[in-house]
Amino acid sequence: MRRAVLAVAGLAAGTSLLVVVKGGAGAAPDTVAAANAGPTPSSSAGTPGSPDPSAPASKAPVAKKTTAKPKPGKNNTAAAPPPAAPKSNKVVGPRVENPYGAVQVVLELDGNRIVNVRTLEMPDQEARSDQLSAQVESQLGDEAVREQGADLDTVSGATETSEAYKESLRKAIDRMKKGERD
Amino acid sequence: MTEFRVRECMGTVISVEIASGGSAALLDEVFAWFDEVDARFSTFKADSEVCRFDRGELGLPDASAELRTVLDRCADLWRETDGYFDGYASGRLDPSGFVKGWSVQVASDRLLAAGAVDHCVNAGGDVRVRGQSPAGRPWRVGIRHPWNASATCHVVSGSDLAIATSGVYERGHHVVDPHTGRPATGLRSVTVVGADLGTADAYATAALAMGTAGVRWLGGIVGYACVVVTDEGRKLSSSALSSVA
Repeated sequence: MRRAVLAVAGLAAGTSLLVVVKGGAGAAPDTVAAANAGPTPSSSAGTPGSPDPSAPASKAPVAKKTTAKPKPGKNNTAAAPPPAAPKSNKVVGPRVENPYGAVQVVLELDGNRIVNVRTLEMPDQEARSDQLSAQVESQLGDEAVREQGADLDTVSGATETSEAYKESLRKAIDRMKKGERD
Repeated sequence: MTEFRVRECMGTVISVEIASGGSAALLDEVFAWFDEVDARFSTFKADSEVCRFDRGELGLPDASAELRTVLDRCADLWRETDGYFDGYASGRLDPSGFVKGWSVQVASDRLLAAGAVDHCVNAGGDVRVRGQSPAGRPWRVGIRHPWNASATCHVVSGSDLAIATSGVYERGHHVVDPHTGRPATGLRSVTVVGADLGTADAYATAALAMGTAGVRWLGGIVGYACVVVTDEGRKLSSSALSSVA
């Protein structure tokens, strides 16, 4: 194996936000469709069927709406809202049913960069409380799992491959590229 | 200037960030490659090469170099993992557990060859980083916290790393032990870190399917380090990836 430089920053301060703090988000999204997008179910995150207790918006300082400075001299033609000034840092896809229940995707953003993609926890989610008498290997460090991580560039995690996941994801990205935020 | 693009492809989200030496044309080429992989390897498209091969409509001699490469690697990985990585686990050919990581690795190799030495490619949580981030330091990659989708539980930092995670925290997602046909239990999340992303992807899937025994198995793998979270909420990490904070 190539000699990879491995280092880990275990940050004691449990930061539950995956906000990338760095400037220059770079390129704009591929395209901004000016066409009518149709009625996207943008408020589905707030329905009783899909609580999102861990949603970062309420805690995130970056989620403040930039209401202070309305741009002067721009008349509000409804076409093509510029994606440059997002109102918050997340976009929620629609809730899509599948044989297991339902799937709903959330994109967490830093500007126009996607930092994390996750699914909302659904209330009917199976609570697996498996007991395990794990034989811990001595060569591995062992500690209780806790939240850590700040100043991240990206996130590694498992994702679903169901059609429902893909549909919610596709629509969330479409909305993100139109500059919509939740 | 940083080039960044994100798109839905191969049934997941793919993001490519080039911190230096990038261009829109280079991003076009990368995503054209992912489209090509999707068309060739999708198990959801009846006319994909992998489906035609699985149905016997296409013989091995007529298969593309890419398909033959993938089949060869899947056969190797089946042996290396005692059969726990199985491209036929579902009863039909489905090499997706290798293809996603492999295709990202190929994309990253091509970016490097094109002079884009600083980049990060992430396809649905499978990550390949090289060089430096736009902040001028090694890339920082969080590993998702198994019980809190908006948090991470570990941070890996480096300038030449492949990072793949398999987990059972997503709804309806489970990994079957190919030897028993039953869902594997014991491990909630397995992250494998090394040089080759296709290999890391397959190892992570295999270890998860092994359950608790996967921890011991991962400990014997040369050249790859791991971070494992058990069902009990223990986090086990290789010394190469242990906390330095």
